[in-house]
Amino acid sequence: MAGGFRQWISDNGGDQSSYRVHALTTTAANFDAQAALRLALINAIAALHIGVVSGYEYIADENQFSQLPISSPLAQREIRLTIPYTGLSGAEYIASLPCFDLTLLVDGTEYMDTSSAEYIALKAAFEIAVYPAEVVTMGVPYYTSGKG
Amino acid sequence: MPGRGSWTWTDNSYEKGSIGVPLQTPTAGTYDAWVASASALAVCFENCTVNNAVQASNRLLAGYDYGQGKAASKLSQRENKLLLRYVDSAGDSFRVEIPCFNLTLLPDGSEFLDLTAGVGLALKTAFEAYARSPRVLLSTTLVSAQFVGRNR
Repeated sequence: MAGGFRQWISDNGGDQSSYRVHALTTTAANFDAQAALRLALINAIAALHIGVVSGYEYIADENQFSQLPISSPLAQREIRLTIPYTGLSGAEYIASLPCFDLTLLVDGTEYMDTSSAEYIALKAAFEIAVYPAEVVTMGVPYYTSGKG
Repeated sequence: MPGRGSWTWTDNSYEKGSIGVPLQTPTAGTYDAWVASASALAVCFENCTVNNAVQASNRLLAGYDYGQGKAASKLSQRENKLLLRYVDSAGDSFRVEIPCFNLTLLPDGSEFLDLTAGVGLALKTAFEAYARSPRVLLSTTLVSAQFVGRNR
């Protein structure tokens, strides 16, 4: 577990380079204090470089795991579930899940079974959590193949 | 400044695949609910993978922006790095490199930024207040800040 931030800095030729600073994992209790300390460090670093900050990530929590993959050869990152969703404005978006379990499809179609417990739970959780600056409605996910 | 969640799984041949979605921007007051809703979504994603595939990593961003830009000065080159060397409270050493370093901040005749005064002291103070060592997240001491060249 770790928090921190990453900044991308562009030079005079438009080339980018980034750096990452690790920090405490964010919690509700330290949220404001960590944000203030982060801003102080970003300002201190801004006084040292003459590039343009072209991107950033404020990392609340990041985890890496070292575990053996599951033994099923059916688990392939190229087998993806494309999840379409629409914003209140009508804007359309997609997300794409790797290692999709093809048994969740309706027989004879490439669409996820909307009566399955997995679909019902996903739709509920998705519409609560996902927020591209507007409330969204999840459509019916479908199988696609991708490069990874 | 939207939030973002991303989750990565390892497939049967050790390849990694990810999904990322935009999230609300969290505040101190909404943080616990924000984490809970993202975690619930991650469980649902996992339930749609083969035998609940093995998660390799996950990230929650409280804010992000990915763009492009161009610095005005020809002196601004990403190859000019300020190499920060720091140690944590266990004595382990780490480093981070800041691109586009402003060489005019160096003392004449030295490649090292003065960490006892001015912008160097401000850096040391802010760095040690915020930065932690990777993985174990111990407090840090900034040892030096040296100009180095890199090829990207």
